Formats: sequence, structure tokens, C-alpha cells
Amino acid sequence: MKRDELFDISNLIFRELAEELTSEERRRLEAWLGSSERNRTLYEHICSEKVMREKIREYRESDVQAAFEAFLARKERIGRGRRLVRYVSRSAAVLVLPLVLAVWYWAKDDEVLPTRTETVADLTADVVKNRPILTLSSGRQMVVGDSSLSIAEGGGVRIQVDGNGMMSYNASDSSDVTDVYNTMRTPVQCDFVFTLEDGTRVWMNAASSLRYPVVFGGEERVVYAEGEIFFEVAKDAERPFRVHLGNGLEIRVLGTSFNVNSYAEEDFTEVTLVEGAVEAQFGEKAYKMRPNQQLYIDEAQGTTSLTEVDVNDYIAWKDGQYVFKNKPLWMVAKVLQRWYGVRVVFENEAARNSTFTGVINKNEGVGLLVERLNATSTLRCRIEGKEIYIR
Amino acid sequence: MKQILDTKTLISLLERKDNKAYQYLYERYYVSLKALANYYLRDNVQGEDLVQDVFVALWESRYKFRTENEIKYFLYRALKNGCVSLLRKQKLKAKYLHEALSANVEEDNFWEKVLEEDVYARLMSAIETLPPQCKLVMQLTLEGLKGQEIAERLQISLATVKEYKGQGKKILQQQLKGRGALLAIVLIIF
Repeated sequence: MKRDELFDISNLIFRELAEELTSEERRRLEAWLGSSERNRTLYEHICSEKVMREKIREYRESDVQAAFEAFLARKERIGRGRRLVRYVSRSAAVLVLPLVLAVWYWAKDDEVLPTRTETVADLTADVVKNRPILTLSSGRQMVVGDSSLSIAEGGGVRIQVDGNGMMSYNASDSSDVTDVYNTMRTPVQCDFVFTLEDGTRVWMNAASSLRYPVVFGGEERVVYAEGEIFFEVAKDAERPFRVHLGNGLEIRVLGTSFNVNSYAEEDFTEVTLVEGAVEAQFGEKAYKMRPNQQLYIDEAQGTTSLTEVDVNDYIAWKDGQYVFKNKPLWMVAKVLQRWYGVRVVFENEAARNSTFTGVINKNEGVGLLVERLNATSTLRCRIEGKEIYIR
Repeated sequence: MKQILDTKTLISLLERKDNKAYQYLYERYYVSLKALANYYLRDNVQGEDLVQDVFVALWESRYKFRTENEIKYFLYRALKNGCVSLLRKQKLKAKYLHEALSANVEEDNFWEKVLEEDVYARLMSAIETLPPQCKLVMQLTLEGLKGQEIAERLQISLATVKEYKGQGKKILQQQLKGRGALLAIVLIIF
């Protein structure tokens, strides 16, 4: 379909829905309908009551204003970033101050009420440490730091962050909002734990994101996840909890704890069940999982498998550990990338595919790990700035 | 009640990178773009991000648009490219992606989806220009509700429903006539 024809036809169909067409217009529409069976089918689909009803609901439920404000905020950030780059390029020494100001300004925009006086040093540390970023329903974004905060979200919901960086959603009894969503994103080198409004606890590994309503609706609890997240779902038989992943996988639970590992840049997804029961729906197939089982989806091969595993290996990351048992080094590299923000360069294929067994302790730092690798294997590793070379 | 901007105003606002232009385009096309992104990506978060990327691309572009159709085409085209590259990156093998990605079908299918979305983008923004009560009545009518049902739902009399319907139709027709005339003029000039 050509561009001009496309918009001409959409205009004709629209006008036909809203009022009568002139005889000349009717002739044009008829000619298009008559030119292929496919056009006629499309036309009937568009004008069907079902589609009409769906669209009207879609339009009514969309929060265009929030999306527009998010766009404005992003535009502003890009502009600010550019100004900052220009500024910093003149003198590297002033780097710290603009960052601090930007964060302070950000926080101010969000009507965040600090319950404790934040010092400049605190905020700098937040930036350096890579803190999670919370996107409010208005589209505004804020850094979740170690300082206590109380933020008002729509419908009387308050987001509380205490001095230890613990965060939770508290709905007052009168809260009546079902379509207000927040998104939490962790950058690399950052993990984060918080509690959703229904009491579900969420552990987010680095470079992950979760979108969830600030208050769950009456019938089901639906969230959208990407990256690696451990869920401890609050029991509520009346309202099933559902997790949607980017690859179309959907996990349904009643009350249970399980881990999902589904990074967009990886070719696989793992769902590991610790306790309770879940049902995972992938395409047409549904998998009922028991504790200590893992559903593994190989997206490159298009295969799935359900196996028994030692679940502790898969959830140790919550406590700052990553357990590898005979895993290829490239897989380890991905974890290093997300945890330490380093880039791993393999200088030959053999290094890339050699297997690794061991535990990585997050607090140890990447230097110690490299030393250990050098001492215990035939591999040679060196660190150059933010890059690790392995051969 | 929302105004429909004429092409000249829209384009000059866009050239000045005035936020009013983006707001107008968000109001008109956000839902369509979002629906398309969700259809292909099946991921709300990613879909939302992509639509935002598309508007950022428009903001950063130096392209000189001459018609609203060109702007619209730019937005849909950018969305399509974004979807294709995201899907490629994910290399996912789920069934729906096979359908969405298989080469030739995809191109046609995408623009057919655009056609569908565009019909409703026009319809909804026309309805947006109506006074609030009148707009509600029109929406419910289009949803297939009978006059009596609408009257009960909105707690107004059947006569009032009919009045709003008539009023709504009249406003829409006037608007459409105006645009039809404009289109005719454009055709004569070119």
C-alpha cells in the first residue's frame, strides 16, 4: 500500500463511520474494496463492533498525558546531558558539582519530601554507587537513595523509603486506583529489594526492570518483568499473581517464591521455583512447576525443558553471591558485566567456552576474582581500566 | 475539548520545536503507536519506551515536513524500524514472532495495522473535540450501547441523550465538511 493511498483510505473509512460519504468518495472506497479480497476483509475487521469496542476502551484507558510528560522529562534530560557534556568538556574538575545539582533538581521536581537533610556528599555517593531509578506514574523519574523519603503517588498511595534504602507501597484504605503504574529499573552494578503494595517482596538483580501498579486491582495482580528478579509473592488465593516476560512467557502464581532470569540481550530465560506452585504459559504450552524445578527456554533453539535443580545456586545472587557449576565463561562474563560494570574481552574462542566452577562474591571486587582465575586455571587475565582481557 | 490544529500551524510549531506540537501529536497518535508496538513486541514496558524513542527521533529530526501525513508516516515508519530491530536483537522464537517477522507478509501486515489504527486515531480525535457530555454519549453509542442504556448509565433522560447525539453528529459533520472543502482546494491547486 502506498503512503498516500493508505491515509486516503483511512480517511474515507473514518468518514464513513462518522457520517455519510459523498458519491465521489464512495466510489473511491468501493474501488479500493473491490481491488482485493484482502482489502475487504481488512475493512470488515476495522468496522466490526468488536474492534470498535476494543479501540474505544483502549483510548479511554490510555494515559496519554503521563506518556507525554515522560517524553518531556526525557527531552529535558537529553538537553541537560548535552549542556553538561559541553560544560564538562571545558574542565573535568567541575564534573562532580553539576551531577549533584542535577540530582537535587531532579528530586525537587518530584515533590519528594526528604525527612532528613541530605548532604551533598550523600547525593554524590548515590550517583557513584548506581542507584535504582523509579519512574512514577507522572513519568517523572527519581533516584532511590539511602535517605528516607516519602512520596505521594496517585490515589492516596504513599511510597516510603527508609534510611536503609528499603522501600514499600502503602495504600490508605480509601485508595481506589488500579491503573497507576510505576517502573523500577536497576542499572548495572546495582541490586535492590522492595515491597509491593500487596506485600510481595521483590529482589531485583542488576540491569533489570519491573513495571507494576501502585495498587493491585481486585481480580488479579499483574506485573511486567525483565532481567533477573526473585519474587516472594504474598499469598492471596483470590487474586492470582501474574508475571509477564518480554518473550511472551507468562507465569501464574497463587503464593510462592521463585526466580526469573530473562535478560533481553540473552538467548535464554530461566524460571526457578523455590516453593509453592506456579504455572508458566509459553505460547500454546503450559508448564506446571513443582519446587526445585527449573523451566529453561532456549530462545535461539526454540526449545524448552523442565528439570530438577539445586535452587540455591540460582538465588544466591540475592545474598551477593553467584554460583557457577560448569558454566561457560561467557556466561560468567555477562554477570561480571552487570555486577561490576566491566567489559570482558575474550582473546580466543577457547577462553570464551572454557567452563568455570566457583562462587563469585560481589563484595570481593573484580580484582580478586581475576587473581583467583589466574592462580587456579590455565587462563591468563588482565585488567585494563574497565575492561578484562582473558585468553 | 481539544482543538484540531491546521497543518500550517502544526508544521510551524514543529519547526520551532514547540512542545505544543508534540502534545498535539501525542494526543492524536500515541494510542495508535502504542497499540502497534504492543502488537509486535508484546511488552508494555518496551512498547512504551519505543514510542517515546519515536517521538524523540521526531524531535531530533531536521526533516522539513509539508503535510501531517508526512509526519504521521515518519512516526509509523520509525516505529516499524524500532520494532524490527528490537525483535531481531531478541532473536526470539516464539510463535507470534515468526508471524510478525517473516519478511514480506510483515511489510503488508504492518501497514494494514497502521490503516486500522489511523481510522481510529481520526475518529477519536474528532470525538475529542466535542463538549464533554456529548463526547461521552458518542463514545457509548459507538461502543454499541442503545439510547436507553446510555440514559441509564449517565443518569440523564432519553431525550437528552438524543439531543447530545444530534449535537455531536452536527459538530462532526461541520468539521468534516470544512476539511473536505480544504482537501478539495488542495486538489485544485496541485
